[in-house]
Amino acid sequence: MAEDVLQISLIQIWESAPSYRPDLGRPMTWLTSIVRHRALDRVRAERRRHRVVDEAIELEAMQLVSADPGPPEHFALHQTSGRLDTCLKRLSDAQRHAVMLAYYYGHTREETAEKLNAAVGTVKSWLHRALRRLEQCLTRH
Amino acid sequence: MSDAPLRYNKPAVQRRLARSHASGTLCNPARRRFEVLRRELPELDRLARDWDEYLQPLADAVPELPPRAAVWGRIEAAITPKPSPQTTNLWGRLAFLRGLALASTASAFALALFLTFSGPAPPPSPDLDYVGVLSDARGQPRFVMTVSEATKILDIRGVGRDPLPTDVSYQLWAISRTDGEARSLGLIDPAAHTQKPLSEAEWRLMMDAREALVTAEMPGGSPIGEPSDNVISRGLCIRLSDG
Repeated sequence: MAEDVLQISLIQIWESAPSYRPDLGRPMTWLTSIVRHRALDRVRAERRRHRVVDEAIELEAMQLVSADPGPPEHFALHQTSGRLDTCLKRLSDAQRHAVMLAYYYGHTREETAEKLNAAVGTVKSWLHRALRRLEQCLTRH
Repeated sequence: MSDAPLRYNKPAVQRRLARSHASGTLCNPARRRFEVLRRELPELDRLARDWDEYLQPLADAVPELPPRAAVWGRIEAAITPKPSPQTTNLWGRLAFLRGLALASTASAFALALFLTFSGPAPPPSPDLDYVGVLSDARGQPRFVMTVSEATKILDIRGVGRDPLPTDVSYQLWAISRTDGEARSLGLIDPAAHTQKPLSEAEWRLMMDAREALVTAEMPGGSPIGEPSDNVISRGLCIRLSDG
């Protein structure tokens, strides 16, 4: 599936390259956004097909991503630096975990609630507050 | 005036939508609606791009995982249904994303989400510093140009499906971002793969180039040192490295 996402993404990049505007953003950010959203498309479609995510496969995948991945937020915080790192550390554990599950795993709010054993409304609140705080923090730094 | 429903013109709604889009929590239909909306609403598009920049370090932190070499072949086949000798192994050499960095990110994203894959990695690609996809008037890619700072070699290949007239010369130009002037980077053969070592002056032209274009000229090239109006293709020069 990863290879399919790569193929679809690069063909889209190839076809839309003439419309890329370097004055509006860095190339790698533009490229990453396309790839990430095509990955989300595919993952969501697969989840609808299979209904239940195979936890074993997911865990195995994470172990390949990092020899000692730990929870996704730990992985990210060890790898990133600068203002995003600073701002992420200012979130509560629950807020940060919800953001990371959404970003890295493509979980919807409902799926995140299931993963974190919390009510959907609670997760919505965590995400909403986390992203607002991140926005405030990132624009201030 | 935008055709978007009025509620989407509210700044608070746009900020909230952009946040949700960036975090990945929008469902697929909502994400598709967002992609349409951002084309109509410049402020929403700006917010989305800001968020992409904010969160880019998370993507940068994903370890690289090269795909199997066969994937490049499939991509090449998809963009050139009838491969010619000129385009053979184009993508393997192009390494559009600096030594497969994006490929790796794409793989790692999906891999972190679901599956694993294995297989031999493609051979290492040269480190590329500039990429330009030059398109014709219909927006179809016609040439792919890459430049490596390490080797100072400009590599340009024709990738168009329609043959170009052979009774003219084709000249490559760099458009300066400083003064907007076009300066020649020499003649190219659109039916062949051209590799041209750049002089120091030409390398400086590349570093300052906003755009590249290919024009049809009299045999032997432009007699006046300026591009003709017969522009075959043009495209932005994208610097891939931050330096």
